[in-house]
Amino acid sequence: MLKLQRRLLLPQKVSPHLFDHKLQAFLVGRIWIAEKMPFHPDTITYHIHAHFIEQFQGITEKNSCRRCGSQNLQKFDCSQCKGSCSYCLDCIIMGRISRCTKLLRWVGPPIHIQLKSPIMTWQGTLTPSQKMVADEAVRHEKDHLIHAVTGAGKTEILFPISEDALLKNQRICVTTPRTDVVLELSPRFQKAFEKIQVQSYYGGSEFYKEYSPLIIATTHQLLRFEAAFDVIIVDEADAFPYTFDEKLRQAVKKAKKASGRTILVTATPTKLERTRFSQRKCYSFIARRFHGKDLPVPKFDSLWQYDRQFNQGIIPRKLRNWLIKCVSENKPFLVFFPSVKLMMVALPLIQKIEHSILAVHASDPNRKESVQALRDGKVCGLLTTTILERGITIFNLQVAVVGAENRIFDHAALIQISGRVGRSKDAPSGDLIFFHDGLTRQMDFAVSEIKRLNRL
Amino acid sequence: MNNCLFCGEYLVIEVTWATFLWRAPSFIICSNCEEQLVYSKSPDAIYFHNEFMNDVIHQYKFQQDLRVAHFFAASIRKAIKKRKYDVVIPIPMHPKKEIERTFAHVETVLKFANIPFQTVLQKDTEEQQSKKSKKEREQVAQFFSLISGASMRGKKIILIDDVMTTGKTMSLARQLLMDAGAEKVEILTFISGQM
Repeated sequence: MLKLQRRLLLPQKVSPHLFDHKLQAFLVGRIWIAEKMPFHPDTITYHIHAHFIEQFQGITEKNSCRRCGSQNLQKFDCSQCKGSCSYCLDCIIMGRISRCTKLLRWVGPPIHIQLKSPIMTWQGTLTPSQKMVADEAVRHEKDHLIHAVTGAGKTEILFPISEDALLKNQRICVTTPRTDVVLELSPRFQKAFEKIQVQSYYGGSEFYKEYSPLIIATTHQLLRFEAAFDVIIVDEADAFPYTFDEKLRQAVKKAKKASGRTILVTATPTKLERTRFSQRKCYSFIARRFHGKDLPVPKFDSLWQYDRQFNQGIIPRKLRNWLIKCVSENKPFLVFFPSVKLMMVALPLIQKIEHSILAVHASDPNRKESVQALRDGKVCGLLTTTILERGITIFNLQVAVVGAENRIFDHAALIQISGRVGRSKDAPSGDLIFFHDGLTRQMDFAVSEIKRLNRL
Repeated sequence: MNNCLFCGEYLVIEVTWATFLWRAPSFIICSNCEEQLVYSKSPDAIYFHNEFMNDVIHQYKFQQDLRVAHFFAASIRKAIKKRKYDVVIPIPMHPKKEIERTFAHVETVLKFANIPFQTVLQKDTEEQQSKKSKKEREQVAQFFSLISGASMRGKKIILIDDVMTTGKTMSLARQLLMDAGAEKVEILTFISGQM
């Protein structure tokens, strides 16, 4: 201890082996509020003096938040600064960052974990087209776009890509906009890589103290990391509302190491992305579902003035008949509604047909349980908003969209919704109906795109 | 500032002559959140401590989002008009806790509401009532003291605090002020609830 104290007084760096490995494992790649560190403050002070940890202000001189980059600040009179101070409004939900908040990041030696092959414990096999895409993505060491239709088995393609990165001692993050997808992917990745701890981060999740080379996180949680990952896989990049597109890009750029790469994975890339990536030959494409069968093509059916009918306490006849058919044939179903309001008006009416039917939406805390209940057959069907348009797989699912002409159903959403049907080898098709009060270009484009992909 | 203060929902602001001629409001609340506000039946409090109010207080005191102070400021401006008093006294925080939180939650609301107040009380313990059980709360001894030089003789006082649960904090403060010669001590809290 005396030796340590004497060394601290000298203006030179302390030898590299004198740091706390647990602290390194926690902080490497992260950007964390000093007050909230799960370590003793004296330990942290030592590491700062020894130049293993850098401490800096929460808000930069140029008035942007050091964690999320936003300039949306709120001024206030601060008792700590004894004067004017400001805090970031955009990332306050992850813990307020003000000018006087102290942030920390690890600037000491990088972590070295040598993982021995075989790391992947996944038992399945890839189809030839899946294998080709995985190889292309691994071989091409820069940014890449994987365009795979719904049900192509995008997650399975990511397993060998992740294994390759892990063997190279790299750190990977799989990021997605929705918490539901994080919750669905985490157990699958953990099972595929049993030898390492796969960590998952989403709003309200506990944070892990250990280091993990494979992290599944919502894009918001990516903000807790800086220059951390060699590979960032962005799942469903187009699921972000347009306004948040730029914030997503910045969050990914910040969390990635300077030498790192981004892999975009989606069934509905924008035209711009497609041209940009294919020009540089870093574009992989799968048009077939893993079971080789065609994508289901939606059927249109008119449901004139469905809005008025629901508000008058009536279920439109065609929808009613369809629901009765699904219930009698014992096939699970999803009915997509354009708004929570309409869905809640329709729910009690539809529950008269079958009382077990539930409704889910974005702010529903029981969403996960309801989806599992549908999967287990305890509930015969769900009413939902676009929250379930992507990511979930349910055997033998039948799908109807009420109000397909609504603005919220753009072609990407409709293609994704269509993709919920026929995902299993033993049930490669199912009912797929767009009930509408008028046709839209988006609806037509979705159908023509699905037909085009089937011809390939 | 087009988002609901509590849930962040994007709102379309209606431009009326009122917003054009007078100062624009410093916060907006969506109709969903407004429906969840329950007013207290007690005349000594503004809101009832339901789950929604709990989230509001959490956003204010623990997430440290000062914008919520504007919401309470608007509420207290209305509520205090009905009262007759000589001086407003806020329940204080321990100075260390105030630096930790970076602001005093009650005083900030009074400042935003343009209600002049006097800091007459000081808190002598770092313990927080909110972190105790009902029994522990009722067992505390006096933890306030008067700041020297403050004369409360013959004054009609109104005490302000954010949340009243058992009423212990208020009764200790009132006791101290009555012993110092105040004529009347009334209370007004933003939120009141049961334990």
